[in-house]
Amino acid sequence: MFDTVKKNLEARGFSVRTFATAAEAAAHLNGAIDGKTVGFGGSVTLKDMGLYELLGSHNEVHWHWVNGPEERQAAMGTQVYLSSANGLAETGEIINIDGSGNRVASTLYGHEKVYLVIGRNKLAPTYDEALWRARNIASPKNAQRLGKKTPCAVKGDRCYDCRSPERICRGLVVLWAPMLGMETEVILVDEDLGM
Amino acid sequence: MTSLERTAAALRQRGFAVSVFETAEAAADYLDASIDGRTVGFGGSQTLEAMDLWERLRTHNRVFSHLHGFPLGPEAAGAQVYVTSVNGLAETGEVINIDGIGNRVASTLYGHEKVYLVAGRNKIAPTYDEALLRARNVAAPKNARRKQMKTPCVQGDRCYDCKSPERICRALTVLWAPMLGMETEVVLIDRDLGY
Repeated sequence: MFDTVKKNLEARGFSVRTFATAAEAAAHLNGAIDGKTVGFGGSVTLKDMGLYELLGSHNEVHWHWVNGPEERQAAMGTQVYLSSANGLAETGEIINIDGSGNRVASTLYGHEKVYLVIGRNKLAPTYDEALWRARNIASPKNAQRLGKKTPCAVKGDRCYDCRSPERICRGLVVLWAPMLGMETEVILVDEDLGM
Repeated sequence: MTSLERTAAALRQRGFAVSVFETAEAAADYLDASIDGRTVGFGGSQTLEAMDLWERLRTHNRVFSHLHGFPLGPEAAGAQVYVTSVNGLAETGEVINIDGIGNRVASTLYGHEKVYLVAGRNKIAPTYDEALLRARNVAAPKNARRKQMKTPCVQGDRCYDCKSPERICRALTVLWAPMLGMETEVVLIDRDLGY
């Protein structure tokens, strides 16, 4: 499943680990991250894997989904950051779209190490198709989840590139390679996870 | 409408604040008057250097710029105001940046009360695709040359999409609209400035 994308991510300089199940991926992260400060990006993948509870027993964890909006700022300065992605191209580009920006900013700067946990459903053959997926599949689902009054949330079928004040698709970030000075590990899971 | 006017109109429609100036001096006067008594972070930008903005703002603000001896780090990332330029700007209103370390682009996405994006007319291209081409093939090779990187673009005339360890093009960010919770003003100048 992940042979091509793993090879292409590694050629770009990313560390990559693959897992058959979310439970195995969670066990790996639980073993690898210990005694650290850990920030969480808003992610259904991370939530469904129970990572906040797992890591919270032996790390200092910060997540605004659990403890409120001020945790966004606390999560910016942590040693480790966890997030998922909205799209992954088999050619190795990692795509995220954000509205408030804390999640994508943390994939770019400010931590010792970033883990990007990505289920097989995020994968598309090309960059253009992965971007299409992020815009037309992940983002409308997120707008619906957040109860936004955007055309994509109301109709639930595709991106309308709206000018709605409630638009959540404000910043696009494409990682072509790991950022300089920040270790970036991609965790690929052979299950459908998140949006 | 001129190219500058089309760009300003498209940016406003997307929710950005926009101000337009004939000269770099007029734009610097405006920023000098607007930013007072604040902590200010600067992205690494030849545009800001050409405008002598550090010299002007530092007399009445606390300005953190790694081009002027301050370390990259939490001071600039946590400043109230952030000032940087862009690598490409589409007449359709998309704001494009490419970064290697990530501090500059992360700050356009999160963490400040207000961000100013200062762009000369040379950064503007008619479409998103052309503005992206400009950022990759014009701005990025010039930056790699300035930083004396050993990448193929330094010798050549274009982006080679290299896998060099010294590659500085690691992340692409595109602002489709201002991030939620952060005021974002684009300062357009009818002069050639920066890369």
